Amino acid sequence: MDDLFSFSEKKIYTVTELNALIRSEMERIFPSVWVEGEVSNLRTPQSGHCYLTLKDNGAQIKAILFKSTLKGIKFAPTEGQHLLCRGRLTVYEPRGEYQIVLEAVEPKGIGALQLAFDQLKEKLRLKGWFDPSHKKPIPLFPRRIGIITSPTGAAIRDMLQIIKRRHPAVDILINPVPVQGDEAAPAIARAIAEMNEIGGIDVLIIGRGGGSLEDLWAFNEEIVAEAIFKSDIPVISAVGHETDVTISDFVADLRAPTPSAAAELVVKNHLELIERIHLSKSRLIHAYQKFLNGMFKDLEGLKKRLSSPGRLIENHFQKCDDLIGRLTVAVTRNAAGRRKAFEHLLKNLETQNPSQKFIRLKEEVLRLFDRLAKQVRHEIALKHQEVETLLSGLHSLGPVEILKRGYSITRKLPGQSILKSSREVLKGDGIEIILADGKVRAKVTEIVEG
Amino acid sequence: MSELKFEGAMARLEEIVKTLEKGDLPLDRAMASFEEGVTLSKICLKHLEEADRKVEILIQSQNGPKKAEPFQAQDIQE
Repeated sequence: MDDLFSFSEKKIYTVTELNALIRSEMERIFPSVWVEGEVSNLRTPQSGHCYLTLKDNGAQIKAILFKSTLKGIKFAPTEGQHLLCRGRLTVYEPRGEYQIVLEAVEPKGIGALQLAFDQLKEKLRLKGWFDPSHKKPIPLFPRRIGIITSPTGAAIRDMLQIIKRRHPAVDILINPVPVQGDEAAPAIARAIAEMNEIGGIDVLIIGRGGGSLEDLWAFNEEIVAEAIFKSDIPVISAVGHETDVTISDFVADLRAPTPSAAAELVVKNHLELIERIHLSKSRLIHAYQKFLNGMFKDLEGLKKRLSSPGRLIENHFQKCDDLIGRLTVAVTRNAAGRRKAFEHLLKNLETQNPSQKFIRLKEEVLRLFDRLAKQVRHEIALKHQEVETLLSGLHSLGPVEILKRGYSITRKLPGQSILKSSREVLKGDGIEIILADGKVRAKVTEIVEG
Repeated sequence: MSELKFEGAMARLEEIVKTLEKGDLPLDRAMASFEEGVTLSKICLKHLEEADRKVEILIQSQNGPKKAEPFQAQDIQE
């Protein structure tokens, strides 16, 4: 006790003074420290400030998150959470308790990744790597698809299943990579470059199946983002589930919600196009058939409007009868005239016995009559033939149905105009004969007019 | 055939179909259009069906570049 009082010149503090001194010293020495620990005794009273204890296996420290700081934190601290904090030390004088006033808080592990994600996203956004102007169009019908993923994962299985089911004509080249772990990102980046070097690949799908943020992390690495950005081949990013968003998704030319969706996407257009062509083809055939049927109908109408050949022939027969009648009259008249002359001659020659001459004359008359009749018959035959030609010409214009019955359409080569007259071709010209089931190409060897 | 040319061929095919569906062509033009249409649809389909449907995987060869080999997908279940 004597010792104590012997240092009379020593300053004797009040508790308040002492705490104030400790506080100012503490604040001077620890204006900003980093500390990590687990959250416990978390409470947020009416004031809106958040009080908690940070602890590890051996110790604990009281901490406070003021309302203003809390506002700037994107997550809500929870009991048991492992936090990485920056703060200043101070003393709560009324109780003599020292504490840390937290100024920045990150959940450890997952939170650090999130931070990295946000930072890289912002960096690349500023570089313009997400701009739509950098997005390459995904080809409508890629024929060689490059897939960069794990050869044993769910993603490749899903993608191949979908492509196999739809069975489009596409080739697939898999570049196997680890999709998680430290090696994943450089391997993926290298694979993207390799696929570009190989050439002939129309589109790249990079991705993997679902997993934790750590599992998907390779697709948030700058090295992968850069490889995607530099790829000449359009890249589809297909990482995890619909809700997983990665940096790769932002840089890629297209984001597919899942690997399966990416596979659907690259083959969908392909199949749609094939369907569209088949549809066009059947419409084409239908329209052409309808067109030919219409033309056939027109021909039928024309045929009806033409006099039937029978009638034409009847007309000719009538004409022929008429001619014969007139001929008979003419011949008779002629004969009558000759008879007159003959009688006259007879009269003149009665004395000279002209019986021989009379017989000759009679024979000549009969011969003349024969010649005339023959000529009329020939004329009728000619007309008949003309009608036949006309009719067969009519048939040969008919469409496919008619072709099937053995008719054909002849076209001149190379112009392909339909041949309607023998005068339209010259000896040696090429012609094409269209039959119901194909075509015959031939050369004109002879032209027979008539 | 480039994608652009393919697009052109598709457009021409669809134009021919429309013209022919109107049905007011003379016979020889209709025939020529029909033939062109059939040819175009064949070309377009052939273009789309060209690939061999190969599934390959790049394998690192010893001291050499990676080589494409057929992908054995036994573990891919239906």
